Amino acid sequence: MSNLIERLQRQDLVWQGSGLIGRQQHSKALTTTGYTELDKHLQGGFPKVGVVDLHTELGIGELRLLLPSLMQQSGLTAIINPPARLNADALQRIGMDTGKLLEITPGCPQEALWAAEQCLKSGACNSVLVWHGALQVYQVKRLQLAAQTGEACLYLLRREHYGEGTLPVSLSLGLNPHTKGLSITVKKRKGGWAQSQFALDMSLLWPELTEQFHTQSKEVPDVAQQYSTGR
Amino acid sequence: MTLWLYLHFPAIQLDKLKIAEQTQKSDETEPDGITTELSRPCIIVGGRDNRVMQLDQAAAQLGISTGMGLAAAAARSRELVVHPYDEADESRTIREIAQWLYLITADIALFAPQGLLLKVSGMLAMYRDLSHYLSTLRSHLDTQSFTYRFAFGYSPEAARLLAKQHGALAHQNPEALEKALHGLPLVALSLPAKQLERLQRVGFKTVGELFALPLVELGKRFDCELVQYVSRLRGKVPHPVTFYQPEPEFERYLPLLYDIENLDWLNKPLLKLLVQQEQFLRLRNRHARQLILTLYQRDAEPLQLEVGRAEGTDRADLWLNLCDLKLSSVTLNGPVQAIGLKVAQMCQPDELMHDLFAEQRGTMTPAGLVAVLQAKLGERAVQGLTACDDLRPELATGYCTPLSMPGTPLSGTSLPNAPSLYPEMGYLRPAFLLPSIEPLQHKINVHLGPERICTGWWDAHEVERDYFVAQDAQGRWLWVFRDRQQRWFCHGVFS
Repeated sequence: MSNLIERLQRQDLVWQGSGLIGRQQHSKALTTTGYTELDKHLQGGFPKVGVVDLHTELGIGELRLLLPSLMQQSGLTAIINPPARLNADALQRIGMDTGKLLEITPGCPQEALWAAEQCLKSGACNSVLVWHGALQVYQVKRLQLAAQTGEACLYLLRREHYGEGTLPVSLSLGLNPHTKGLSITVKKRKGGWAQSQFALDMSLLWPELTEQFHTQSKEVPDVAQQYSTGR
Repeated sequence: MTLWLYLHFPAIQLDKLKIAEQTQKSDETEPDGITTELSRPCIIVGGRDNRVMQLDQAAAQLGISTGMGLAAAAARSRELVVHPYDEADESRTIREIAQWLYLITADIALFAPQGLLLKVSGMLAMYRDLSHYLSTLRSHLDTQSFTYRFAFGYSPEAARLLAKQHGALAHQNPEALEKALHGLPLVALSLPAKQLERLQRVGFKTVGELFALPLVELGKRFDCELVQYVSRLRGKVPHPVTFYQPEPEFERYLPLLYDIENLDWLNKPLLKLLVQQEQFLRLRNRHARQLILTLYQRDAEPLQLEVGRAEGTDRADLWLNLCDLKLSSVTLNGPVQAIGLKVAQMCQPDELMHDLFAEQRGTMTPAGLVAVLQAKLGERAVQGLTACDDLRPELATGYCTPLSMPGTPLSGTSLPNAPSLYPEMGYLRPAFLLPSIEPLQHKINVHLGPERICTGWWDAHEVERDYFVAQDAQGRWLWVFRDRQQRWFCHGVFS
């Protein structure tokens, strides 16, 4: 029996779900996240083309999760409807080329989606980050198509909205704060199984921004001690 | 002797109206193309006493003729469409025609508002013969669909008179032209009425009779102005003409056939102007970077719209797209009567460096994308970032026009691999800064700090703050500070 399957596989007659992305394109269709642990769980990294849905609160490290992969890109990165203004100083300090950033602050959610679609299908942007609320299936489909036209990736950053059903996204991750960095739930992955929760250790790149770092190393300088207790 | 060609355009304004009407009709009619409905008769009146100056065929069939009064003409038909004569517009159009003809012939003199004089002799070195020149000229001119009359002549004035009187005089042998000139009635001459009357009283009826008299005799009987005129007409004295120089700028004005209230309907006339602009730019190997679109509204100030594109282009379709986006956010104060288009900034075409081997993705360049976004959302909504040399966090980020700053990272290497400890703690900055500093409302857990920023005493924006990295109950990483009065504020989010 196993012999038979093997033979069929060799003749390329068995279709496997894990090969959906295409064996030969596999490495090409994904881009490394910059975190080896996450790459392992996503079997290669974020998709280069498609829509990635991130369910997250503001300020728990969601941008830090994306920055390493954004920094590898050669094209533009569009930041649409950010919750606050981007700090170019901070981005340059970690080595990002701010000349490739477009900060777009549209007046209403419709315009944000319009801008996202334009950026995606232009072919000039490699990735587009949109902060948005609830979405409809047709809106995501449209964005997905635009992403395919321009070969770009859209990252949707939003709170989890219950009751909007399953959206046709390429990858859906739930992010929660964790002492080591982020606790990530893979909710949906195209061409793969959704996996259980795992903790992503971010201490290698941003040690100061993990709780673990502060609980472990207690040698807070005296000055700081003085401040936190109040002079 | 120099050979001249005069082109006389008797009905520029009427032709323009007809062209506008036809393009509109061709959009409306079904594919079968049968237009049963005859167009309504149309006349142009002008002058102090509103005389008919131009009329179309339908009006001529009604018995209207040039020089007729407005009342008499209007009495012929209810259907008559009357437009006032606009000399400024005709003068503008004749310049446009000259510009168009400049592509194939060099020396053009403007006889505004209705005539153009071309110097043929010089151009015969370029064309095979006169008929070749004439056919090239005519086919070139026919694309503009204006009616015109033309005639050759061995003096500018002779060519002008013949073109006005005869329809199409393609002769070029001097005898035939001389004969045609001799046959002209005396009233065709552009002389003051008093002078003409005196000549008629003497008994002259045609130009030939006038020419028969020696110039010396004419000088004795009449004043020297007539002598000068006649010798200019006969080509004995050079006629001073100033030749046309093509304008370096593109500026067009298009009156609309009907008032337009719906901005979507502006597309067609706008496209026409943009196509003209494309031709203009392509011939000069230039790209437009900024256009000024003017909407002339009835009973309201003209509305000026600036449409820009960081990366210049000459393509009409791309510009039409941008104009559409710009118009989508415009509200009119009144119906649009006319539109104007002007190229405000021109540039050399960029030689774009494309990656030959990279796969083709999308169709837009970064600058093109920025232009589209800015046209729809406004210029303030699309910005680029640049880091400024300032220690105050709120001033460390500058906003600029997108893609204008190179924005090279401070350190050549990417993310710092070694964990940075307290000495480098100053490098920890949040990716997001709140648009305005907010008082801290909830409980936080301070992790790092303080970092004192105390600067700016010299420009009235003094800060003295101790910054801390803190985490709130939801696990969010905040950048908070305490000022000199021990008040706590939140300034950024480590996203």
